[in-house]
Amino acid sequence: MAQSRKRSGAGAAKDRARRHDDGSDGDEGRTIEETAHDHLRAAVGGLFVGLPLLWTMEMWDHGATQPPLNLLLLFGLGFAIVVGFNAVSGFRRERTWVDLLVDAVEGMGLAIVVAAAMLYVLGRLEPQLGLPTMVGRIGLLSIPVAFGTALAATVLSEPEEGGGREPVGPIGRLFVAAGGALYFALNVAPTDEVRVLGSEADVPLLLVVIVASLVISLAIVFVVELPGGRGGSIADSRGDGPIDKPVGETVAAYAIALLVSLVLIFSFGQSDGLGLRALAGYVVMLGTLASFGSAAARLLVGGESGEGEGSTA
Amino acid sequence: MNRNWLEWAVLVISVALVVGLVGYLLVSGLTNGGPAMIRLEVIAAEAADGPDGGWLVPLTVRNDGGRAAASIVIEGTAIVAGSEQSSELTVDVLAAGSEVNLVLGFSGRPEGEVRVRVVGFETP
Repeated sequence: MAQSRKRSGAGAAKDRARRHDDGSDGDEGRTIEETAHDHLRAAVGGLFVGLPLLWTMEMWDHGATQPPLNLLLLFGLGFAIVVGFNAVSGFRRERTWVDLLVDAVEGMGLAIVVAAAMLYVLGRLEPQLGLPTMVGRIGLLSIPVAFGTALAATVLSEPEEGGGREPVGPIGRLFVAAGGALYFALNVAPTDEVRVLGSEADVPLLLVVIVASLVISLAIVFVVELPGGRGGSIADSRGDGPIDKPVGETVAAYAIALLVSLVLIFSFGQSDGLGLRALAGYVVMLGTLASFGSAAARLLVGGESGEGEGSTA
Repeated sequence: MNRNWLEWAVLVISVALVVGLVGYLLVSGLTNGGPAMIRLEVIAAEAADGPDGGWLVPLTVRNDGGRAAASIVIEGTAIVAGSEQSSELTVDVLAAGSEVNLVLGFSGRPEGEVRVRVVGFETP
């Protein structure tokens, strides 16, 4: 994961200075203590994000009953988002694709261990269940835990570490939006509430829901003064691209939130035998959470995207 | 970038876990194990504890198929004190390859064999 080789505190400052000197990334490696500390922090982050879902019955059931290829699709989506999140969070430092992949694989590996350990502690992993059930549960629940391990780099790191953070460009922000949408909607996608809300909403209500989702998302990122947000910059016209502007970014993030909702509904088998009209209802209703998540996550990466190099990153 | 031994260990274990998980899901997804196949196995009846506990018949329900089954209704029938008595239980979810232990209750000692059958189940 990104944090596995990240410098902390004074070491970080020294490292940044060194890179200014010779332009190279510090090559002296990490001590055992630093490495252990990084991974423990990541494990805590994983529990922080993953515990509510580890405690959700629908997650145990879906881990046991969903076809393996659906679980694989979700795992792949989770992996892609962890790679994307690692790419846009943390330090301004050169990282190759190999580094990003290694970080993401380590994050997923740690998440598998944490998810398995917690499922065992909760009595949800017993040999009697059979291997398919145990692997399915661990695979499904390692996804939210992996988000936590990735988030640990940003949220749980010491404040001074955030100082060197790279401004995130519009495409990066949409990646982050997808991560937030997946995390928020994942909490609810397997539950019965999606079916109830989705199948009972009529068309006028769905239109109201779409407008409300867009307005809330726009307000969180661009109107309300929040840390990391761009409060009050609703009329901001910096940046050239169509998704640099508040309305453009909001619409794009909402589209991604709906897409994430659709993938989740499919992956959890909620779309089986569903008509198109009902499916639209499911997606829009789950989209309320996904779009909220997409907005909240964009707060985490800050609001520098309109400034200079960030808009082209 | 130099890595210390702990970083190497974490990386190697992580790769093994991720490849193992993905490989397992892929292989079991591509090899279709067929529909759910519910098997019932009765273990000998025994008197229940307590004054009015009747008789309990433990049984094991196993899904030998390749897909999960839900809402599995299981019915046991036995002759108790000269008349037929039936007892019914529902298993919420039974994933492929897993088993669950159940206990059917009867008001008295079953005479002869306890017959069990699957009434039906959902295929999620």
